[in-house]
Amino acid sequence: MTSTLRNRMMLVVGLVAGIAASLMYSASAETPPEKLAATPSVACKPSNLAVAGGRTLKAEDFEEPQACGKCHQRQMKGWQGSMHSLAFKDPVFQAEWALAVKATEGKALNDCGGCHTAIGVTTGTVKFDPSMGKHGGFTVAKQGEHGVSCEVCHSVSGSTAKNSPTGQPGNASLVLNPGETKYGPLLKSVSGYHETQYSELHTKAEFCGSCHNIFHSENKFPIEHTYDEWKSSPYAQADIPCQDCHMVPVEVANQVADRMVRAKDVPNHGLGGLAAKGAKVEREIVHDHGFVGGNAVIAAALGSPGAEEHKAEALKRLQGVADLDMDVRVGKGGAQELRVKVTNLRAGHHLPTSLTFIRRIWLDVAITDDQGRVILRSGELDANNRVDEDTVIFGNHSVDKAGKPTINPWEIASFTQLNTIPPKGFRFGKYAFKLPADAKGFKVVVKLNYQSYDQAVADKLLGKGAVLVPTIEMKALTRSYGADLKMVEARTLASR
Amino acid sequence: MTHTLKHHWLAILAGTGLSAAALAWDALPLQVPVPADNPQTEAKIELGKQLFFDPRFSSTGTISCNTCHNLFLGGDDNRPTSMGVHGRTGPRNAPTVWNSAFHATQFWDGRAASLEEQAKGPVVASVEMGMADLDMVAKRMRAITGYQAAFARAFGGDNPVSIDNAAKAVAAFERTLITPNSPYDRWAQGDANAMLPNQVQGLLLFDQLGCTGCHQAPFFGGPNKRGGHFAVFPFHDGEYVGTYNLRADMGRHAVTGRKSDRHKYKVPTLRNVALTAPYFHNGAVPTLDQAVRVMATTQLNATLFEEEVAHISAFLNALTGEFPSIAMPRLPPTPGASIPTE
Repeated sequence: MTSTLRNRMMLVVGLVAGIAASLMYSASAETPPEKLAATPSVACKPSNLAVAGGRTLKAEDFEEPQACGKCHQRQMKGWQGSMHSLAFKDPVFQAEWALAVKATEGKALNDCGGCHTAIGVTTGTVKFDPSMGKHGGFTVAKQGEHGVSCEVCHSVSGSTAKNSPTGQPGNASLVLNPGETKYGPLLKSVSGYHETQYSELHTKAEFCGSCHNIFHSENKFPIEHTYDEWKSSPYAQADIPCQDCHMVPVEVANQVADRMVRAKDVPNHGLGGLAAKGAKVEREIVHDHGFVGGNAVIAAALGSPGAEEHKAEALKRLQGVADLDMDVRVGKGGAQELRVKVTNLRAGHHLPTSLTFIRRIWLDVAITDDQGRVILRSGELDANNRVDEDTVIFGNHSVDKAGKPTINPWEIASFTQLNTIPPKGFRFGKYAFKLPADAKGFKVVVKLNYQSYDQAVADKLLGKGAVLVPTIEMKALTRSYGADLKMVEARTLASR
Repeated sequence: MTHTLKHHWLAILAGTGLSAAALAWDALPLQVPVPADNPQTEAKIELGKQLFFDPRFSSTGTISCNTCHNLFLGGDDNRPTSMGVHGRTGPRNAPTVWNSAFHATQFWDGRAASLEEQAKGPVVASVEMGMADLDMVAKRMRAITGYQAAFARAFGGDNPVSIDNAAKAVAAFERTLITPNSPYDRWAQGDANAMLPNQVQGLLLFDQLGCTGCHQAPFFGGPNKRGGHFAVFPFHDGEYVGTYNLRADMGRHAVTGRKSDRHKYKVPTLRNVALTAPYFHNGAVPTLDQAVRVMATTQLNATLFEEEVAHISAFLNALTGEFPSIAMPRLPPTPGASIPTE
């Protein structure tokens, strides 16, 4: 290559680089500051949270929920007593978090806090206090105590998902931009109190997935994958996001799941109205902000306002989400075989979801013959409020990097057994039993039960005997069979 | 869940240092926010009080702060817009000075970030106290011998008589102008009989309608946020907008030039509002009842029944607090002259 040619080429390369640089410059000059910080903030790591424009936030930059609730009364009524409102205060979570912080030399402070108190993390006001509670506890500026409060979601101006270590929504992959402007899903929104900005992100499952998708921050193992479960479900295919089931009353959510349509397309949903007192535009749907899932315990136990309503909704949800069926046949070898089919009728994620290694959905099965003899018993709670290891439990089995069983999220490296029930899918519980020769028939009673966590977990976190974890019966089915294994009316059997 | 079990949960919660207390109505705090660079002192407050009542810092020697912010009334002048020197009137209604220390910003449009900053405004406003400039004010203060000693007592230093110190003194005095123990406050503190039943009904109505969205308890004004908080008035259209000419004023837009600030105002406190008629930024609405109707319509798109108007007005009357007794101060004299010669 002659030196002249090389010089020319360098000139060309230089020009291209210069143009590229100026393009980049002009792009950033015109990009609003909230779009620039779509990379997780160093101060919030290992969570994926970011603050728009790299601002330093103070607790006073966030309003407390009661201020919002004065105009957004319907939303406030739903949110109060929700698990979102208790995301920071929940004593079970705090105990777990405390253990995590101690085990990870502090890394878990932001790791868990990113979702549980995004305000505490972005303002740097969340602190671990080892002297509090059984294992230690946490303090935060009062604005941060409200967990996932109005200001957390409605300050979200963007997502860091693309620039997060996993490239997906999760681990609080949110950009917060608190201030006069509130971000939300409504078009043409105008308020006399604050500025408004339409946010497409708020209409999508990816928004919820920012926290309902949790990866181990070091080994990247997907510990909780509610969003991923949804993503590969028929609900995602039908464009039904999380909001359509978890931000409407359970009756409407059930219709969404049964019809597989958007909540707005459920006939007579009755959810239209104003999004705030004195608002100008009538909305097709004003979303509830109750985010009801399976937790029927904490809010009521803490006496939070709105707790009873939440408990009632959670029970309704748990009791409508799954269906039971069964059949009995002669198995190989002559023993009778009972198959219990559990269908995930109405959840757009697996059953259970989130902490699949801690939540308990199990089958309680009793077979008695016509003479009252117990032929089979499985899944019965013992004196310690626990079930034995042969119980059919729907959940995942988690282990650490050495393959040792653990349910501590900070230790989990993989799952060795997957037994959750996918959306619209089903799983079987199978039982072999031997009917006595003189039995004329038998009765099968099946219950699908739920506990938010095992009693051993509660004992460890809160102290032995501190609480009795309640069991919620999600579904029950009783059937009677003759000795020929044909189903009969219960009364018929009794009269034989 | 059994009672015992519930008790356990609450005990665990108490162990985390958090309270499960439901939201309640709060009484007006007895402590106002005080800036770090202007702590409250007796000497400063006393000097501020003298300056507040002294008309000699107006061009004609006739107008003091108290002229428009009459402390022996509701802290305003009960005029649509205030009358300054030479009978000139300004564009806006005088806000009450009582409890103004709880406001995050001052003036209707929030253009002053503090009481100190606010105090420097009206003295040089041509339609208010009409002084040519703040230097002239400083000269007058220095010319009054008694003030030199008072400023020295309050501030010390080499050159204590200054506009900044005068503003600090006035602000310090204004921070004592709070009116606690209104029927509402006593009710909020647990005296169930402090408000009449229709006043309680009025409060609940006031809350349910969404009024508390802006007029937030316990101050019943806007939130005390850094940089202030501003709301659009009027928000909805309707006959009152024209009748009372409510959109003639651009509000905070005139300060910031931002389109989003058009017709935005600081949310004024409703403490002692029964004493501060006429109402709104232009003082165009003569009675409290009518002000309630206008607010319901223009802000919440709600037409109230007359009974509801009466309940809300009754509640607003329950925001009239206890006024500390104020003795008129002796002012340092200017022997031989009505105002210091310039």
